[in-house]
Amino acid sequence: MSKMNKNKREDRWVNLLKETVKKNHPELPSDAWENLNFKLTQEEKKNSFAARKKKIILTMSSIAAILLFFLLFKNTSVLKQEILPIAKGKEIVATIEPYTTQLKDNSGTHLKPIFKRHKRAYKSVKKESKKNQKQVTFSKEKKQVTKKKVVTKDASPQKGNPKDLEKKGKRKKSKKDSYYTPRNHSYSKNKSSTKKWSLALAASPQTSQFSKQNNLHATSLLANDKMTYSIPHGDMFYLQENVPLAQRIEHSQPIQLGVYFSYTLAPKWALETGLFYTKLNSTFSFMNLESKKQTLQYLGIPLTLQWYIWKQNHLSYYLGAGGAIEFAISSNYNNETIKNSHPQWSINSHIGLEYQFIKSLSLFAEIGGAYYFDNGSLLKSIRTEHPLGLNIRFGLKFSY
Amino acid sequence: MKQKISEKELVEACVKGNRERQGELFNRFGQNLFAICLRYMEDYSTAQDELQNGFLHIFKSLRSFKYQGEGSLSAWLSRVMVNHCLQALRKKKRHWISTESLHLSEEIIEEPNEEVINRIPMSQLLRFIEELPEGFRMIFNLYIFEEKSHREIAQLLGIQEKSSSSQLYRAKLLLARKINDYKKKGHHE
Repeated sequence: MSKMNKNKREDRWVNLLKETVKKNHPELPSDAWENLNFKLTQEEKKNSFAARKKKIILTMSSIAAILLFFLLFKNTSVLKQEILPIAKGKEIVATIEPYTTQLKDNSGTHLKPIFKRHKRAYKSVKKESKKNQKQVTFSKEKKQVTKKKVVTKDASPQKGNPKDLEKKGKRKKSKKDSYYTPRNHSYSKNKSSTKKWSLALAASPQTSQFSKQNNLHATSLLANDKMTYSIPHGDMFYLQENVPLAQRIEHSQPIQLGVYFSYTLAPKWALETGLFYTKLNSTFSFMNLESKKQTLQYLGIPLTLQWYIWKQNHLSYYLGAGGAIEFAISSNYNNETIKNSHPQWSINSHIGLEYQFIKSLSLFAEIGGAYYFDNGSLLKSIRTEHPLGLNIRFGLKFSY
Repeated sequence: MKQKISEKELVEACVKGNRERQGELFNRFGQNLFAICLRYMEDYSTAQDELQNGFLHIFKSLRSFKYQGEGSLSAWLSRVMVNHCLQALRKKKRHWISTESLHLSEEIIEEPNEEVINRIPMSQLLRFIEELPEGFRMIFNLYIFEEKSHREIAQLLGIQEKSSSSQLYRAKLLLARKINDYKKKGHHE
């Protein structure tokens, strides 16, 4: 027998003891599995009840959040309603810029004209559109065409004898003529320069009277005031008589669909990217007489960092923050393609619910806020009207 | 007779909550894990309780197991059970360093004879380990059976490396004395 040595790493007898103990496994207690089975059943019941309860709460809260979202933010209506009183017989000089955004008087006040397509005028303009001129000028008394300029003199009211109406200085209102359509206007056929469409501007008398009636804020437009204003492609429009000049823009809440890839950085952290599709629908209404739809479609690439707050079985809740860049794949206004080449940058944060139905594939729904940076585009959308807004996303997520 | 399935399939079935397969996993690896419990816990009944609790924990966390070939499951299960036992001991908040060790360093104890060890029943050998003070037992198990270094043990238990090595030495002294005493008392020829 040798004495115990402290510095020795492995004693032979200890190694032997280790081998002996390792080789011979103790017998399991006879009721070990029965007891464990019983405990497992109890745990299962407890977990399934708790999980069911949590699932119900989470599902209900998610549904409630989504419903609330849709109820509150389904359509964001932007009412642009301003009066454009124009003194009778005064000449108005306006600059026309296709699809620009504003109508301004020289004091900087933004004005919105009412747009209305006039069939007859539209037809004549269409014919002339081939002649490569952008603007049309019409007037009762004289025609004048300048490049990017419309000069309008007093355009007589329609219905009845215009001369009589002129004499009276005002005209009776009727349902039929709630929109002023110049009757005796003419287009300078030789000089007008629209491509496919032309724009016509007619000044209407007596609008100031109307403004009083409707108790709306009026901005006087004096003679020779210059205006720039937005004109959707192809629209004939007339300043109307006796009704407020208004444009109603209604943006539908955008919904995004996408396929996302998530890379787990740490047990509770993941980096996500992917490809998502966004459709932005807007409706431009002009005094309920005419409405035009604008559809902008984008494909976007996001980069988001996600933090999983809670995870159980197949269900998880998470918070995320990141950014995205979107490129327009299709842009239409009134079924016609319009140019939209500006990429859209945005930052966002959200709370999401994820359901993993197979190992690396899950379905998710997110609700959150996003800020869309000004991309320099003149197109109006919910993102230009409300750069900071709520959004919702549904999608499939691949995790690896 | 039911065909024996692979470890990978067994794990997948257990993750899905197949009770029959869970029973199979228990039968395949239960003895090995029970031996761990017996070595770490102070008595048989506590070891039995911790075996059950440990298996409950195993079935919950089996989803995180990544199959890396035959034998990987056994190694993973052992690791989980060792950690479970250490946690169970921590929960008891006992003093890991026993005062019993104070007299041992001055004693001169002879190394047990290999033949003697071979003839002692396994259950008795396990009992000797069980009877070690908690701190000694943990360090002895971690160093000898789990083959951890003193640095790893120190990090795991939040003690100093020196403390780990000195407690291991004392654990071995105490164990050797128990074996020698067992022989002297005539249990062994």
